[in-house]
Amino acid sequence: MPRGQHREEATLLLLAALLLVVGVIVYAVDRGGAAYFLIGWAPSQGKAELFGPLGNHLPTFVHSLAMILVTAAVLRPWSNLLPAIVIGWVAVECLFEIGQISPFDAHVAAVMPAWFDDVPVLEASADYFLNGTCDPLDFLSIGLGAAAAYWIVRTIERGDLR
Amino acid sequence: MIRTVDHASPWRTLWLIPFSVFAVLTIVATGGGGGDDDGGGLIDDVDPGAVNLLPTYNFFLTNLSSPESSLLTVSLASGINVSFDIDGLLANSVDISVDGNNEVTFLSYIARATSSFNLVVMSMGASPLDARIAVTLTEDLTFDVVGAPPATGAFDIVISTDRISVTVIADGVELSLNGGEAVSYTWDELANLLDDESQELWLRHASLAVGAADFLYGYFFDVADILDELELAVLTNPLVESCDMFTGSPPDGILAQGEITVTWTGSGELSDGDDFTWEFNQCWFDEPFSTTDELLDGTVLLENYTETVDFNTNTLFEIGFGGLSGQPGGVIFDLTVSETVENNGVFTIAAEDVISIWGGFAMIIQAP
Repeated sequence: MPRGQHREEATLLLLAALLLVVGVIVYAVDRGGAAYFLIGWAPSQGKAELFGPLGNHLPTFVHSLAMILVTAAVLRPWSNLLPAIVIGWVAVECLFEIGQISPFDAHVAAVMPAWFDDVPVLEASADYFLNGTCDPLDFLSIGLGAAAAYWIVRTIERGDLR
Repeated sequence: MIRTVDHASPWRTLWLIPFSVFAVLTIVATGGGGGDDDGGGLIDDVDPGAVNLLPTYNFFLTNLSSPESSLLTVSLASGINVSFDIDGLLANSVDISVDGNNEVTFLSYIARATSSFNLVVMSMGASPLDARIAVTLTEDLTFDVVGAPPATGAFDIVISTDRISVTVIADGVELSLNGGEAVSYTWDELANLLDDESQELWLRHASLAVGAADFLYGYFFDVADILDELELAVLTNPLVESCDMFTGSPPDGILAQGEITVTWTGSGELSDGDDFTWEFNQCWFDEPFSTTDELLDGTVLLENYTETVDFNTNTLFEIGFGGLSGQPGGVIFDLTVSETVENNGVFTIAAEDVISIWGGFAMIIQAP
């Protein structure tokens, strides 16, 4: 495998990791630690406005963007799969958003198996669907994240970022 | 130029498996926050202490996780059994008020559109009422007062190929069979249709469905009412309270004043998974505006207690029995409910006025 390709994959993975860190910061700072993975870590009182209104949709933007970048890095040798990767992640992200809309939320929560209750993170699945909020702008941020990911991957492939 | 390298190891694609799991977990772990509020938010089980309550909560009812024999079932003296088979979750919201003693009063509630349940009506002999009746809310049903009929809303009742459209109007309903001409009834008239064998069957089924929904929500609120007493029950274990005193001479063999006993079967501190028994020993419920009184005898098991507090705000996030995703436990009835009949000052309990209740439901009250 060419060394340049290794470097491209590393760039994609590094970018994805940085984006996920941004997402964590949004939850830790702007949302007062309101995420399962921050229980006991983030300050429990008060919130700051580090990202302002952008913080409302930044996590969906960076999550779709980061997931596509990582998948593109893993499948880098088959770069013609990029459109499928983008479409696939947009579909997954949108399905999770749609699952929060009533009445789908109740039906989705009802089919969660009982053993999820004993598994860290999965125990929050029903709460995610029942109490999560779906906003039309979430879909927009997913789309923007996907478009940005497509542009970044193609730009790196062309070597423009080197 | 886009370069494609075909000789890369296909095994690297296996990395996508753990990565996909990670991706899904990171979505769920956010709690679903988004839009312009915090969405699901951070939750954890903590010592509730002085927990704050929100003015509005969602509440959900679902079937017990054990087999069909555990469906909430009402057995009438006439030999007719009516079972509630909830389709997924019954989703609702309720407004509450909290007084200085932290006692909760349920004010008004909304049964959400698209919620549905089935009534399975089976009799010992062949009753024309036997049927599987599907009730689906086509609009939100709003109840301005808990215990009163709905103020607005609409729902459909489907029995085999017939569809009864029910629209709530002022002090009653309009019923239409298969899109036909609508007929109006007051709530009292509708309730009386059930036992009137001269009425058309679809009207009696409509009466049954409305009465059943009233029964289901009534028992939910009866159980919900005891939630704010559970801490006290844990402290005093058992908690014993006197029931209403029967006015006059009670029927033969029945106490004038029975009692309710709430027993906590856990130890240490009240915690998730604990169980309670709620026993009614010849317990009278005086109905001040009624010529009849109600007598309860039996037990309600409250199994697999759950309580979660949002520790960011010290606000109650979730409370209930059982779970919404097939967890064990819930509210399990083994009750006999009787009504008195008064004749020249002598009170008796007629056999046809005794109903048995068994099976139950899981119930979860959750922050919106």
